[in-house]
Order: sequence, then structure tokens, then C-alpha cells
Amino acid sequence: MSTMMDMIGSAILFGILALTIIRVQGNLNTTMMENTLNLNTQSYAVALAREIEHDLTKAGYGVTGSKILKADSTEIAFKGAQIYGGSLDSIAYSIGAADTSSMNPNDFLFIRAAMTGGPLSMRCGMTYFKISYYDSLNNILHTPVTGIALSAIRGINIKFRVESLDPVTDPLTDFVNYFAVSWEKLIYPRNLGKPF
Amino acid sequence: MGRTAMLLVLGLGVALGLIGFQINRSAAIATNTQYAYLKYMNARNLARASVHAALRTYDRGQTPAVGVDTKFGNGIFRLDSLRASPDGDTLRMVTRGEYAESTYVMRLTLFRSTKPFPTVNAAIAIRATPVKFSLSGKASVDGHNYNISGTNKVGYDDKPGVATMTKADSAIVVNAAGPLVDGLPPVVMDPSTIDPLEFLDIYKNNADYMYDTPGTYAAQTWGDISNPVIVYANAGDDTSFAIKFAGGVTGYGILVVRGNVQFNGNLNFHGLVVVDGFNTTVSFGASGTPGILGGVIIAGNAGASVTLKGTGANAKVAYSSEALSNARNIGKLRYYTILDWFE
Repeated sequence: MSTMMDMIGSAILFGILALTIIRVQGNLNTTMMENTLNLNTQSYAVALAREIEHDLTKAGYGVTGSKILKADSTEIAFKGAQIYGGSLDSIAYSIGAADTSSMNPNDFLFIRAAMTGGPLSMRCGMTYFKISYYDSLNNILHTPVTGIALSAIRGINIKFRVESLDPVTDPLTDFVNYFAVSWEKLIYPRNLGKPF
Repeated sequence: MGRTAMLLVLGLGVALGLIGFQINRSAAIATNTQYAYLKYMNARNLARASVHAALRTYDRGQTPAVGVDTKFGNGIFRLDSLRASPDGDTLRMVTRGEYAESTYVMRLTLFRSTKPFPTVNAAIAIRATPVKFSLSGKASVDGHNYNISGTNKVGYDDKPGVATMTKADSAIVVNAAGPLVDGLPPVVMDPSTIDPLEFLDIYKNNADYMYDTPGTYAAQTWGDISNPVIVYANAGDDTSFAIKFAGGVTGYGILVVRGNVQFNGNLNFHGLVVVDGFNTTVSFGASGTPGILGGVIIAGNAGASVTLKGTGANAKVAYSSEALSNARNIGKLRYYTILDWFE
């Protein structure tokens, strides 16, 4: 009888522990997924920020004449050598079509096109991208900036928001959410003020 | 039973440990991602700080130290290399910022100049028209190009003694000065003289020495050859009041004079003198060789009255391209044009 009670008790204990572990495993998976999505979103944002800063700070470097080729609210094209003493390159940023391969309904492709290397369409969960332009007196220039006004550009403000490609669902409320990182910077490419 | 329970507890402990490790690892990676960007930004800001520190050192008339680490915050910045053109106008520098393991390097070429600084194409360039010009006593004007010490004629780039806006004004100057003006030619009409009026507020607001109350002042030293300065002597337009410098005056840079200003001791000013106002009298009252070496430009106040008096011996306004060039090195008025900037 005593042995029987032990076996029943062990089974119950095992069942409780098994259920607990399964629940913990479920929560762990959710947490890990959230962390991964969060980490990916942050990584995308940091990588994009560094890429944009890297390119824009070189706008006009080694260039004589027109340095900004196109300046619109979601598109910019400029010239500049990307390597110290290197040959000229042309870089363009623009937004592409909606990213239908992700579960985020708001994200779109972000395109970096370079004369050397060609266009690169990035699937990074970008949901907002806006560029504004400033002259030497920090007056905002209305977009699109065209013609001779392109040479008046001294400051370029970039703002973007990237979100996770997949949603995070709260198991209790079923609320669907996306991790998001916003980044904004006013960059003064030093070579835009060159007198030639 | 006891053994089974122990194994279960141990297994649960290991599982929970793994869970904690995974969560912490993920959070650590996220933190590192952000911190890496922070380090990169700090390193870049430090490299930029190095540029500014070097330029401000230049502006103080000193040469920035190369290869010396400067601690700032938790990082360092350093001027890796610095090359200046022979005339000092063009600077090439490489700066470095280091924060934790991040390093950021900037390579730049700058052209330095002084703004604003009117071109003077004569020993005395008169922008005012019509002008009342008087040169009396032993004051004289020489458009030949002297070096900054005033002892030797350079032998090239000689200028007219006095440049005026109109032929009528030239005639006035010739009548007033006669043989007291020398140069190539002594008097010429040159309407290209830039009016310094628009710059005067900048000079006044940046003056290193300001005399805006009539009175008598002792001997003065305004800057030196490596540190030219801005001086503003404003006695007002009523010539019954005067600013008198009783002792010797030595100066380098830009001197703005308005009203009745008397140099009763020895005057040796090297650089640009801007005569402002409507009734300006500059009196040289000393023995020896008092004078202005560089150039004088008379602002475009129509009908301005300018009198140069030389009661002492050999008082002279002499043209010196070297003294004018040196006056451009006033740190407060210096600006840098970017010729190339790579980062």
C-alpha cells in the first residue's frame, strides 16, 4: 500500500514538474523570441545609422561642382569619394516597395544604390524614413530641393524608424506589437561648404 | 523515490540556469550593440574636438602640439600630424579620437583667412567722397612697399600714396598734401576701394582694446607680431574732445580711429588703420619716427573730414603688404574654409 502511495505521489509530482517545465519552456521561447526581435531591430537601426553617417559625412569629398544630385523628402543622391584619396562614387538612398515577406504590415524596403556596387535593397523593417535639408543659416529648405538650391544645402537631417519584422504577441491579452527603434540626426557634411 | 526527486530537482536547476544564461546573454548582446555605437560616436566627437582644439591654439598665435594625447572624459584625442603651407594659409591635419577600443580619424585640409578684411591698395585709401583731407606739419605718406620692421623697402608691389574715389578728391589731396605724399603714383583715383563701414561693428564688437572715453592714456602696447589685435579708439565726432596717448604706443593688427586721436608719444602701429566718423584727426606729436606701417582706409562717410598732423619729426604713414598680411592673423576674426574633409 505504501509503495502504491509512493508511486502515485511520484507520478503527481512528475506531472506537476513536467507541466511547470513546459510552461517555463513556453515562456522562455516567447522571451527569447522577443529578445531576438529586439536585438535584431536594434542591430538594424545601429547598422543603418552607421551606414548613413559613414556615407553622408563623405558627401562632396573630392568633388568639384555639384555635390548633391537629388534632394527629396524620402530620397537623396550625392557624390563623394568613400575612400581617402579614392575615386569618386555616387550614393543614393531611397525607399522601395512594401516588404511583403515580413509579418509587419508597415515596413518597406530601404535601398542604397552606389555607382560602385550597384543597388542594395535592404529588408530591415523600416517603417519611416524622412530627410530634411538646411542651408548655411539653418533655414529649412522645402523639398524637393532642386536646381541651384541644391548647392545651398549644408545640413541634412535624417530620421528613420525600424520595427521588428515579426510581431510579439502578449499571451494574456493577445495584443500584437512590434519592437521599434527611432533614430534621427542632423549631419553637416563638411565638404558641402567647399568654395569650389 | 529520493534519488528520483533529487535528479528532478537537479535537472530543474540546470534548466533554470540555462534559461537565465540565455536571457542574460541576449540582453548583453543588445547592450553591447548600443554601447558599440556610443563608443563610435564618442570617438568621433573626440576627433572633432581635436580639430577645434588645434584651431583655437592657432587662433591664439601658438602652434598646436603634435602627437600629444589629451584626455577628455573617458577618452583621448590627439593631433596626429599637422602641415602648414609656407605662408601659413593652408593647413593639413590628421586628428584622432579614441574611446574604449573605438578609434576615429579625420583628415582635413583647411584654408585660413581673416574675415572681414578690406583690401588696401594704397598707403591711404579714401572711400569717403567728397572728402576733406588735410596733411600738415611733418606728416607724410609713402606708398612704397616696406617690410614689417619699416626699415627696408621691399622693392616690389609698390602702391600709390593716396587713392581716392574721384578725380576731384584726388585734386583735393594733391592740393592738401603736395610733396608730403610719395608713391607709385603719389595720388591716384581708385574707386575699387572697399568700404569698411560694414565691417566696423565686427571690429568694435571684437576689440581687444577699447578706448571710448575722451581722456589721456599712458603708454600702450597692443599685441605683438605673432598676436595681432583689434583696437578701437573712439573720441566721438566732436573734435573738441580727444583721446590722447601720452606715452609710446606700439601695436599690431587693426586700429579703428574715430574723432580726435592724438599720439603724443612715439607711435609704431603695424597693420590696418580704419578711420571712421566724420571729423577725424590723427595727430603724430613725437620725435623719432612715429607712424603707421601697413595701410590706412578711410570709411565711406560722405563729406568726412580727415586730418593728419605731424608736429614731430618724420611722422609717416607707409604702405606695408607684410604688415597688412600679418594683421590678417587676428584670432578673433579668423575663419577656416574647408578644402577637404575626410572622416
